[in-house]
Amino acid sequence: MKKRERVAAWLMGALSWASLGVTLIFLWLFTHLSLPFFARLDWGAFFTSTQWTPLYEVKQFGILPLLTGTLMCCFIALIVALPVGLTTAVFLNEYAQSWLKELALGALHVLSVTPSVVYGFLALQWLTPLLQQYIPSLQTYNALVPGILMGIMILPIIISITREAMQSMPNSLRDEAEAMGASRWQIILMLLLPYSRRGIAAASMLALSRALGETMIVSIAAGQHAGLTLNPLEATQTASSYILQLSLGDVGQDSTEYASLFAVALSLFVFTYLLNLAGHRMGRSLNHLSYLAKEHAPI
Amino acid sequence: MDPQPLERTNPPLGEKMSVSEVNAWYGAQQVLFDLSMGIRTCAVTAIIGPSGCGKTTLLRLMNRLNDRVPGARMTGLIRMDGRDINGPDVHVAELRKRVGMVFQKPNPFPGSIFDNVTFGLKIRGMVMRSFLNERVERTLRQVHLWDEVKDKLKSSALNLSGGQQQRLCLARALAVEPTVLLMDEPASSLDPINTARIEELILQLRAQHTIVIVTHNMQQAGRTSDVTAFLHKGRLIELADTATFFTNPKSPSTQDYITGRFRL
Amino acid sequence: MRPFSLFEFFERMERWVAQLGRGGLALLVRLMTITIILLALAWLGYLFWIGQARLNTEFLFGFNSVVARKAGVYPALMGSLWLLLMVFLLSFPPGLAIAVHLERGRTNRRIKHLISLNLSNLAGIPSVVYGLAGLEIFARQLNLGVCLMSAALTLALMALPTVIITCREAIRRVPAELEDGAVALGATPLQALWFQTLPTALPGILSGVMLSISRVVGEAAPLLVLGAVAFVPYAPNSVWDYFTLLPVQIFYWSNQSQPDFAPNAAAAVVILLGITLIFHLFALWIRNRWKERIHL
Repeated sequence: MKKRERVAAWLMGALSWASLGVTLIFLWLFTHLSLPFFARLDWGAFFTSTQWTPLYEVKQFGILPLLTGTLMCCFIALIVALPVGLTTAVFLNEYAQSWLKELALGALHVLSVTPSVVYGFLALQWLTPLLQQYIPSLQTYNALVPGILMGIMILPIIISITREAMQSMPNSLRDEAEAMGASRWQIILMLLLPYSRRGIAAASMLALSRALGETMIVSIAAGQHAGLTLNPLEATQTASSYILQLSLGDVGQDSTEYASLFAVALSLFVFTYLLNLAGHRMGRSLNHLSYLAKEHAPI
Repeated sequence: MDPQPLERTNPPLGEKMSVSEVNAWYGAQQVLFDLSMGIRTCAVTAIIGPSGCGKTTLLRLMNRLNDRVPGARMTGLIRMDGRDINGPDVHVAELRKRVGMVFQKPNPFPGSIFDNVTFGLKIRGMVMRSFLNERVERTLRQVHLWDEVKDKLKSSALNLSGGQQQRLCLARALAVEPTVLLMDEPASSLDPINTARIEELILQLRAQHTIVIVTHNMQQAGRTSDVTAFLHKGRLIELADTATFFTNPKSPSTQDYITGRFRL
Repeated sequence: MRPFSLFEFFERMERWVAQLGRGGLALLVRLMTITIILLALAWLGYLFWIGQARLNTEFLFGFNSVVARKAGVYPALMGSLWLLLMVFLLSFPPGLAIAVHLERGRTNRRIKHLISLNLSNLAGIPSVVYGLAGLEIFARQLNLGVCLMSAALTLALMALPTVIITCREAIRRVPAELEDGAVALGATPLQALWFQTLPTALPGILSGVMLSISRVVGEAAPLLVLGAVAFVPYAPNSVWDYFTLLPVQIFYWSNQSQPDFAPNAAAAVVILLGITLIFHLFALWIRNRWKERIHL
């Protein structure tokens, strides 16, 4: 009996160690497979060229278009998500037991459950035509609509983590402020928000990491071409959608494009990993596990 | 048929367990200092003292429950039937089958009453239905719970009242037929009626089990025990037969504690 | 020049807010919340409106076709359900094992923290990255090719960190005294865990795992990278078959240049949402019932 138990315990430990191996394998794999890309790269053009055309006859590998596309979409997403998310979190925290609160929680749940393909579908079929009525210069494939929808998609993350941070504020602090005569809004603005700023920062970082990795919405609604543009009304491409686009096509295994896939994946991996790390360190004071659980299954 | 307490004409005088020069630490903090005492067979030994004096630690050392606490350490010797319980040849799970424990707060398993009582038996591989049924009835009768729960053995143990739960935990411990029973303030979370019931049970069990009870209630110690030990700040101050202990305490601290004049 | 005072800043903002009227900000907050609710309702409505023509048994049991009206979703549906089951089987045991080890195992606390940190970070890695890795490792290196098995392995890997986190959460909710009680009766720590803690934590674990897996069912990106296509004329018969899945199908139908396929996509979305929601609600129901039981 003792031996069986020891074997079981050893097995569990081995699996845990193996999980560390996953990260290492990913890193090694991506680095190894992206070496051809980096080896054949014209580094000057990489940083300065405004063209990213791996699939054209004349392949150009300037990083700027992809970078701006990715950043633009994420930026729009955050602009949408942060204000709405923060105010909603404040509402959910401050106004207890309102019928509106229950409804809002339900709606958030629906939002968090929705797969990203659905957002993508809605982006192209619903929101783009809708917005085109108000913004005539909005093209069919653009960066604005995916950005907005990505913002909505990361709302639940921001709200749940921010709420967690807000709820962790001890009631005694609030009582003291009230005893000094502070109004509800003074408490919110001058006590609650500063207290939760770490949680808010953590929420933003984790939400950003999620937005960076978002593929479907962008692939469906933003177009497949990365031109260097800061105009959200035009088509663009993000790093993730690039990976998808290339994978859908016919790419020879020895080609530079194939290696570029892994180069992009490597940078995505490293970047989101570090963002997650920073976000978790920020939110360290929060109840570590429960807010992690919330991040992946909010509400 | 309820078991009757045996007549105590010739109480056995051997030592079931002995504690020799035991020191214990939690991390860097020492909680027991050079403690030595004997636990008489088939008798009730009460350990009393103010909070934090180390009584629970001592109890937990006796069934090696402190092995599970990271940072807990001890030196010295604890023997049962002459053998060192921390010896390399001792299997701790086996030890705990002979030394049972009832905790301060009743913590029944979230299953049925039947499952609670039979858990200790099932992990020993005893699974025969008829045997389990018989054992369940016998232990529940022993703790005077049978009549109250015999119709609902399959219902959840969490639905019982506090006093019933504590008696259930006692039955659970008795089901594996331990020779020593360790009780950590078993009645402190119960009302007076249930406390009286538990004390009555202790007196009945004493005939066949060696019992060590930790309590902060001196009257309880006086009512139920044969031997009383007074612990203060991790040291054994006095150990005597209960009658002598309460009528003629030798140490001035003991006197102060008993009469309530105690200044920590 | 006066140094900037946060207090003053807020005071000034306060006055400005007060000018909006006492209920001003409160109204704004409520408005934001209502917007979200309306959004959620709006697109549920939109989906139903667009896809209603297709929500019938023909669609559910039909096979794909070039003609939009005749296209059905059966292979995709079956593929998704198969995948769900496989991912569950592949990720639950190791996930639970690692969770148990992290909660109760005897390893250096620093190492456990490192493992835990690594897992949390892995949980946030984009799904396409997993897809690409899966393509290379499972489909190419291990020569499994593009089949349900490699898809399931990839997704199981992706779901693993989340499964572990939710299992740990559930185990933590069980009070530690339970194990003490079992151990005091002579159980070994593993016995105490297996016979008391885990059964008590089980509903919580199951609901958490179901939530994690139900997210997986909606992932299209990694599978597309892996090589899933939409025109597969049969439902999978074994784990080594070619396959298609609901989200993949939706992706392709959304992309079609013919607007005829839009209703198909909408209807498929409704089905996908339906499945996901059923899982979620079931998981939540289990968890609520379980919470009552624990806190008795």
